[in-house]
This record gives sequence, C-alpha cells and structure tokens, in this order.
Amino acid sequence: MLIEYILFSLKSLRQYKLRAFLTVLGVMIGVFSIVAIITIGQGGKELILSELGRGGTNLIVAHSNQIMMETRQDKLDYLTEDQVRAMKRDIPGIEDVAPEYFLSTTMKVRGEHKLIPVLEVPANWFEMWKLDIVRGRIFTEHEVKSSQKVGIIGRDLFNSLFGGSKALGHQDVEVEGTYFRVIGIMTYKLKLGPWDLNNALILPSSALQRLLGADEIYEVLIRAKDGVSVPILKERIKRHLLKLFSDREGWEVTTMDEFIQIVDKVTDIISIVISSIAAISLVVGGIGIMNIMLVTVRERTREVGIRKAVGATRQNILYQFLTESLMLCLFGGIIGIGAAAGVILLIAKVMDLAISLSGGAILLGFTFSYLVGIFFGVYPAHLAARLNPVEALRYE
Amino acid sequence: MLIETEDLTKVYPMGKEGFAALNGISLSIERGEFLAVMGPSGSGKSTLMNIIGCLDSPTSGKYLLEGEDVGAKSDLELAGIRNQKIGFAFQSFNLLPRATLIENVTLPLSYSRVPRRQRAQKAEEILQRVGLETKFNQTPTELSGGEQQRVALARALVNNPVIICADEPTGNLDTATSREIMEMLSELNKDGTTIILVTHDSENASYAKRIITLRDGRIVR
Ligand SMILES: Nc1ncnc2c1ncn2[C@@H]1O[C@H](COP(=O)(O)OP(=O)(O)OP(=O)(O)O)[C@@H](O)[C@H]1O
Ligand SMILES: [Mg+2]
Repeated sequence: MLIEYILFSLKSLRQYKLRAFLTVLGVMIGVFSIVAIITIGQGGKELILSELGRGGTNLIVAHSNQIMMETRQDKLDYLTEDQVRAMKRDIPGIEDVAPEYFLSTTMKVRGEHKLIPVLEVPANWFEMWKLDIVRGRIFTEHEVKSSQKVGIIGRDLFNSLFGGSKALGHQDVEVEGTYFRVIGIMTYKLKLGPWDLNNALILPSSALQRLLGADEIYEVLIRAKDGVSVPILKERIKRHLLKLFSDREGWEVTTMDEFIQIVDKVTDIISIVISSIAAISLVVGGIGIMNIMLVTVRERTREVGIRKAVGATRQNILYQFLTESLMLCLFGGIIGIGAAAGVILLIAKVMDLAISLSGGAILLGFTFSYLVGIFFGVYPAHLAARLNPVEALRYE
Repeated sequence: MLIETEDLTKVYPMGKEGFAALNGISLSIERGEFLAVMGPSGSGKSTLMNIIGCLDSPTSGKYLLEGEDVGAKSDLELAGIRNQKIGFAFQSFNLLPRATLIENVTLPLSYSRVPRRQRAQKAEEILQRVGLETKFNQTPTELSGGEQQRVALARALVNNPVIICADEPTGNLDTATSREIMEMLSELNKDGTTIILVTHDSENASYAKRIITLRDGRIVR
C-alpha cells in the first residue's frame, strides 16, 4: 500500500510543482541551516581549537591594543627586545618568551603586487608555537643573532612564487630591497582573515625591523613553566607591564585558555543564531506545508469522496495525505542537504579546511524533514480522512 | 434475503425538529433483483441509496446486508463492504478527471488485496467489456458522457460486486446513450448482479423487475 501512497502523491505533486517548490523553501532553508551548522560548527570549531591549542595551553599572549588617537601621548607603549628578555628574568614562572613583530610588505606575485604579511620571530618561537614545517627547516638561534638573510615561507606563497616541486635551497624572496633565502615551507590549517600564514613570510627576529630602523614590539608570546598556574602568571605579567607603562592599561594579556573560551563562546553564539534561524524556518516551512495541504485537501474533497465510495478507509486517506506532506518535506530536505553539501564543499575548498558532510548531519536533516512533514501534515490529513463521503461526493 | 431494512429514518438537523429525509423505510431486496426507486425530487431516493450503499448511516432503524447488521460495523468494515460488495454509478460519473481510464478502474483494486500485476489486466478486461478498449490511457475529460458512465460502470464492476447502486446514471445522457447504459445494467442483472436504480424516467424504470415509489421519505407504492 505504501507504494500506492507514494505513487498517488507523486501524481498529485506533479500537478502543483511550482506551488510545492515554493512551500517547501522554508523546510529547505531549515534543513540547510541544521546540516550546515552541525558540520561547520563541529568541524570548524574542532579545527580552530586544535590550531589554537597546538602550542599547548600554557601559552600566554601579551599584546598592545592601543589606538593612536586614544592615547594622549605621541608614542604608543611598546617593548624593546631588552625589555622582553628582562620579562623572562624578572617575572617568576616564565619558561620562555618570544617577541612577535607583525609587518607587511608588497611583493610581486604572478605579476601582481600583493600585500604579504611578514612575521618576525626568534628561533624559539617555533618551539613554542609548534608550527608545521612541511619542507626544509626552521632558522637557528645563531642565524637570528648573526642577522642571516633566511626566511620561512607559507606553502601557498611558495607555490605561487616558485611552483611547487622545486627543491629548496636556491630560492630568494626580495623584501624591501633585501634578499632572503627560503630555508623552510610552513602550513597552517586556519586561514583567518589577512593573517593567513600559508601566504605569509616568517623572518628572523628584527631582520626587517633593523632594516627599517625600528625596534618596537607590540606582541609577546610567553610560555609558562610546567606546574606554574597560568592565570596567576598572567596576573604577574599584567602587573609587570602596568609598572613598566606607569599604570597605563594599553596592553592586554590573554591566556590560550581564554582564547579557546572566546572561540568557544563565539562559535556557540553562531550556533545558537543559526539554530534559531533553522528552527524558525522549519516552523514557518511547516506552517506553509500545513497551509498547502489544507488547500490540497479542500481542492480534492471530491476525490476523497470517490476514493471512500470505492473502498478507501479513513486510514487509507489519512496515510495518503500524510505521505504527500512527508514527500514534500523530504523533497525540501534533500534539496537543503544538497545545498549544504555544496556550500560545505565550497568552504572546505576555498578555505582549505578539512570539513565534510557527516552521515550524522544528513540523518539529522532527514529526521527534521520527516518530523516537520508528520507534525504539520497530520491535521490536514486528519481533516481529509474525517470527510463524510456523501458530502464529499457532492462537493463542487 | 440480500437486503432488509426496518423502519429506517434519516433526520437532518434543521430547525427545532430536524428534517426527516427518510421516514420509516422498511424494504426487502432479494439477490438478483432489479429494483427501480422512483419519486419526486427531494423524496429521499438518494438518501436511501447512500444508506443501502453504506456511504451513509441512518439516524435510526435497522439495515441488514446479507443478514449482517450494518449499523454495528466499523469504518474499516464499511469500507471493505463498499470495496467488495457494492458498485456505484452516479449521475455525475464521479471519475478522477486527471487519471487515465485504467487508473480510474484500478482504483477499487488498490484498496483490496489484488496483486499489482493483476490490476491493470483486470481493468483492461472490464474496459473491454464496456467497449472502451481503444481508450485505456485517455482521461475522462476526453470522453463523452456515455463513455464516462461506462468507465464508471467498469470501475463499479471491477471487484465483482453483489449490488450495483445506480443513482440516476442516465441523468446527464441523451435518450440513445441512456438506452445503452440501461441495456448494460440489464445484462449485468441477467448475469446475477442485484441492481438498484434511482430514476425519474419511466422508460428506464421499465427495465426493472420491481418499482417502488418514495414520497416525503416514505414508500408509497
Ligand atoms: N446534508 C443534508 N442536510 C440537510 N438536508 C439534506 C441533506 N441531504 C439531503 N437533504 C434533504 O433531504 C431530502 C432528500 O434528499 P435526497 O437527495 O435524498 O432527494 P432525492 O429524492 O434524491 O432528490 P433528487 O431526485 O432531486 O435527487 C431533500 O429535501 C434534501 O434537501
Ligand atoms: Mg437524488
């Protein structure tokens, strides 16, 4: 009998294709959102957390968040290399410190001038951050001290500059008139905004700074000693900096745990927002389904009468209309899941993220379509089943 | 006795008292009968027919079909009776306008336990019997009134019913086509099917072996 219901429904749905498609949009959007958030929410969050947490949770970042206009001074509060070294000595509990200079330079990539992020770090930074070096090596303490002109380049930038396959050792990149020999290639799975390490350059600490005649540090990466409480160390660093900058609160100190919490919170908020959209779409879509099914039942009152006259039971009629609303919803669900799969594929490709549609997400998408189809289809189907055959046959 | 009714009434809610469309109908119909029900418009002919056809239930009174009390039956059982024992033909044909003739005729079979493969075959046989073998895949809207009524008869016959309930089946047809339909009903009756025919037309009624006349919900003759 199920096959009959499906055949009858298909036949009837074929008669109002456009109307069906329009009504099913809400379910489509709802299922799309559900599948998309499950996948991106889970996959993306795990990825962000694993990349952020790659250096371990005993990392602390101290960085300046001053804005020139707000400070009443002619210069922002910055640290010098000596002051950074002094932090390790003066603050108990610090295992290691590494200044991070963020710069940028323009470079001709495939005939186009591009702004390339440049990160300058000491050799110990790699140990702290545990960056993936896919080919070559990181620079040594000695190379940093002796201002060797070497650098590590992001994989994407290397490929665009030199093509992928060539052996390392004889490629130079020109930065502000100076040539740096490429000694390593790195990757980073997160591509967030302009600071995409796959398209960046990492140079030995102060290689460029010195070239540009500046020695201003606005960000420091700190590793706590094993067994030291990270939050307590954070407070110590904060106090140290306040003392250094005469109680001006221009620097912020954030532990890796706090970063992870922020990501957690942000992804949670995004999840809640998208879930709400999904829920609203599903309800609105469901009401749409109910509406179209009420119209369908009314339009086909006579058909119900005929079917009952030739032997359809109430249950037969109920199931027939339920099947129809279910098929509508499953149809919407399939399109929604398909669209989500497409978008996820696109995001994965564009952002080079390792996320893909999971069976669980697909199952959930179908479950929601099914539930909406049943929940909002049962009342119209019930009305149809309850029709008095004599009156239904007389209906014009 | 195939059909026995005892003091059937049908009261529609209207005003204080309600309106009695049937007012104490006691009637017996034997297997193989050809009964014509006549009477002026509004006398309750269709109401009676719908109750006999198990489409409607009486307000009071008893209806025995093949000795069984129809009033005690569930929706499921009534649907089964309509499916297996009764075939309907209406003045307005009541075919599914967008379904093909085959689909229309197989409709009762999809509610009985006939295997799918046999259905189309059965429908084709019956459509052949009513002379529509060239139009299997057309829709009713492409047919003449007489042809549509023949499709309706084919649908009524497809489950080999005991009774054919025909409510003014020729009401929308011209004299010649009416005669064709009446001949068909007559043939069916000769083959043993009980026919109950509601009609205004005395020529149609002349095909019947017995005629009853209703007035104001009572049998007057
Ligand atoms: N659902 C209803 N509600 C109220 N009154 C009804 C209803 N159905 C039928 N009636 C009334 O019951 C009476 C009998 O109706 P019925 O259809 O049985 O007449 P009929 O003899 O078949 O007439 P016709 O020859 O015109 O078809 C009519 O007066 C009609 O108005
Ligand atoms: Mg009538």
